[in-house]
Amino acid sequence: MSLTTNVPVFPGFIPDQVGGAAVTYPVRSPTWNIKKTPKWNNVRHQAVNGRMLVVKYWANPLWDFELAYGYIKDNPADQAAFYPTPIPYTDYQILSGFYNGMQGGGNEFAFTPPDSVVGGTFTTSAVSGTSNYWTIYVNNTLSAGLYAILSGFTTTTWLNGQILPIIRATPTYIVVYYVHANQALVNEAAGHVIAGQSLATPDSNNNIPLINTTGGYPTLPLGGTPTVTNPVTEATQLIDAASLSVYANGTLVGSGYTIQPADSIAPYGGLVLNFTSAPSSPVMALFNYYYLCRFSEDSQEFENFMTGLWMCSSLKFEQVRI
Amino acid sequence: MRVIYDPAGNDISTTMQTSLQNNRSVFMANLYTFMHRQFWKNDTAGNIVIWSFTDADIPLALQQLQLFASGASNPLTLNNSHVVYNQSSGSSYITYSPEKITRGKLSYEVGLVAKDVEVTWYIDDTQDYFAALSGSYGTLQTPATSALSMKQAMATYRAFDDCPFWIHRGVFFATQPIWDGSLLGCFTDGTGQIVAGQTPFLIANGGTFIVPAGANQLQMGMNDYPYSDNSGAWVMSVNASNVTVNSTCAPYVYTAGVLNTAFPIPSSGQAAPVVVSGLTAGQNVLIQYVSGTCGLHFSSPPFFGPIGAVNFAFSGSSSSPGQYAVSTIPTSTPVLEGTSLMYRGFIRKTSAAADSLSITLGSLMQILQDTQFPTQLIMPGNRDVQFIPSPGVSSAYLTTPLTVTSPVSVTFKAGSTLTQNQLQDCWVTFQPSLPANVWAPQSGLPPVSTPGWRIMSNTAAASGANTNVTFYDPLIIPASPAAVNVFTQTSGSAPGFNAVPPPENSL
Repeated sequence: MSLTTNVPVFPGFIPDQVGGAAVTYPVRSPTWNIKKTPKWNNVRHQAVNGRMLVVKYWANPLWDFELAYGYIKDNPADQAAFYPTPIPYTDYQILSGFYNGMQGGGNEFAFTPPDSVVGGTFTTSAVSGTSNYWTIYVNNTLSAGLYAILSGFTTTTWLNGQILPIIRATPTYIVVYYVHANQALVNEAAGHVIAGQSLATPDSNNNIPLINTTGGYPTLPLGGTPTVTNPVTEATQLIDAASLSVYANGTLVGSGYTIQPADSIAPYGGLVLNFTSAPSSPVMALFNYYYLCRFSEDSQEFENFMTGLWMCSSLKFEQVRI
Repeated sequence: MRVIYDPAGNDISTTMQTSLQNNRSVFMANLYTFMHRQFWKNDTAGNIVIWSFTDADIPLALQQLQLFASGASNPLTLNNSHVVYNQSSGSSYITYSPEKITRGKLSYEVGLVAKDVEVTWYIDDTQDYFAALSGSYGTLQTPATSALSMKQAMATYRAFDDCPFWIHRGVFFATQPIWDGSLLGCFTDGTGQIVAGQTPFLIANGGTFIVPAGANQLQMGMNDYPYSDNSGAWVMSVNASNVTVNSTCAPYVYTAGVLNTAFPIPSSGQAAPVVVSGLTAGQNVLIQYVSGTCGLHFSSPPFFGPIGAVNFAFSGSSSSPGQYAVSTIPTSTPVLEGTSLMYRGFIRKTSAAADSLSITLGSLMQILQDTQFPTQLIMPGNRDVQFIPSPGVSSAYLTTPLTVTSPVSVTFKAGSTLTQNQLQDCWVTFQPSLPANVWAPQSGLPPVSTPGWRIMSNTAAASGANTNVTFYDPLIIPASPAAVNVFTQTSGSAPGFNAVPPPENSL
């Protein structure tokens, strides 16, 4: 793994998180509840009549994270099997060692959230459409919120070239929404899907900010029905550069671009892809992303409640700016 | 009244006032600019360096801002364009990098009152700020380091004292700006007439738009002038049907005295707009970008999507339809709309703490108060005024090669016969030899003579022999300086004390 900035990676994940490219070398046994808190910095100027002018200072939020560990194994005979090369430390030693290695809040580290998945390219096994919803069978788990570029369909040719948000995802299929006159009850034998993060068109200097979609919301006209969704994105601070794949109009772009450092090119916060010439739209990127973090507190309680078992009721850390 | 200039130098104070009144929230940030002579390398061009930082969480780029008493100017044209700056967003722009900088409260008072401002910079001591602007540089002769710490340079070596410093307030677009080359739309009747009370509007990457009363069709086209040299097309989805908008399409047809007379645009090779008909008033129109890029100048880049050519003039030229258009699309990326000069002064004092650098800025008013205007200076041997506007400078007194013997002591070759302490209190710089007129103070530029290192003593030496020179403060000497300049009272005469260039001579 190669990060765009050389910092240690937090050895943890959240409950229910499954393994995969995004999950590195976790300490086992995190438990519920976990907390994830976005922070903004706005100053409110309120007049005596109640009217208010708000001055915004941040373009991107900062996140607070809080994890809990119900039990942490400290048994040399029961070490985590996640490591391709065995290391001589127990889960407890890894977690407490990482905290002390960071000297509490003294040093910065990278944290990969559970939705930091790269997507991928897939050959679908079948496609079925009823109404405007298209179920595309892929034998992989993808995240809702990623986008899919569709190609290779022979019957539903109008799906080819579409870049659509993934509405639902299971381990065996994804669902996308697309309105077409021939929408109802169409089955397709197979096609291809590229799933990843949809990027903007390049600016006049052939720069494209590497963004991360954190969510979205429907546009609700007053008294109307939702007609379009507004994705909400944030700047990407760190990525695993080895995981980055860029697709221009469905074709893998192997060269002709560089990753510019975070916060170096206006007006983009975070990393930027700089192309030598404008790529064809739509542009999609597959990558793992990380937040740059520090532990929030300079003291951390680990409780030894049974031989070989520890617990940590609250482990707090927070995102920091590059 | 403060004037707000857009990044291209246009006065947008009036439109900004309207925007501030209409919008309930605004995005703001501070911009910090200071200038200095490039002293850490042997700079034969005598460049000035523009340091540009912001407390915004994103970098900003601009071409023009107010530096002087009035008007906007392009800092890149100062010093006969011998300028070094952060050009990470393109060579035409100064990029302001996010840094951990805060400032004290700005306060103003009518009258001759000086109001200092404290700027605190939580500086990264491990970062090589100098190489980022000027490329890699060789190991300095003193201090013996390959990467000078900015904190050291400012607080220990006082190399930035007296340099001009500006604080600007940046204001950002509340809605997506209308760049040149952006996709515009308008609702018209069947004849192509924009319906009463409506104007062209920005579509950019799309959104939901409601058909106004009296309209039954949507027209789309690019914002530009002229159209004849455009290339490319966009595919847009309008209520789930794809339409192609060529880059030569204008958003409406203008015919003098006949059609859309409120929005005149000259003929410049534009094609008819793309028309989506069959609409009814009150209907929602969902527009989405599908694919394609366009260019403004034949087949040359940049190529861009319906947002337009980012950082190009906001409404294109004054001949383009964008001058009449409105934007209601919230920005996803804050874009700088304009800057206003909040403070202008010079670096008066710097002090370092473990994790921060404090910079005290003296106002211009302070110069007026602190500068004495002697009517007669009582000094033995002459009646010259103490401060002369253009000190004489000569590279004949001290020459290279030089040897650093301590942080404050250097052995030079004497360029002429020197008596003991003859150079006491003279100032030395390691700039290259420059024409005399370049040494003269230039409005708005940092003094050529900074950083200057003041001589405490020198040993007597015959011409060409070694003279040991001791300075009051530790000094910075680049690798292989081309010249050693000694500031004297008058060029060509024996050097003496009162050749001190006043620090405020650049302001």
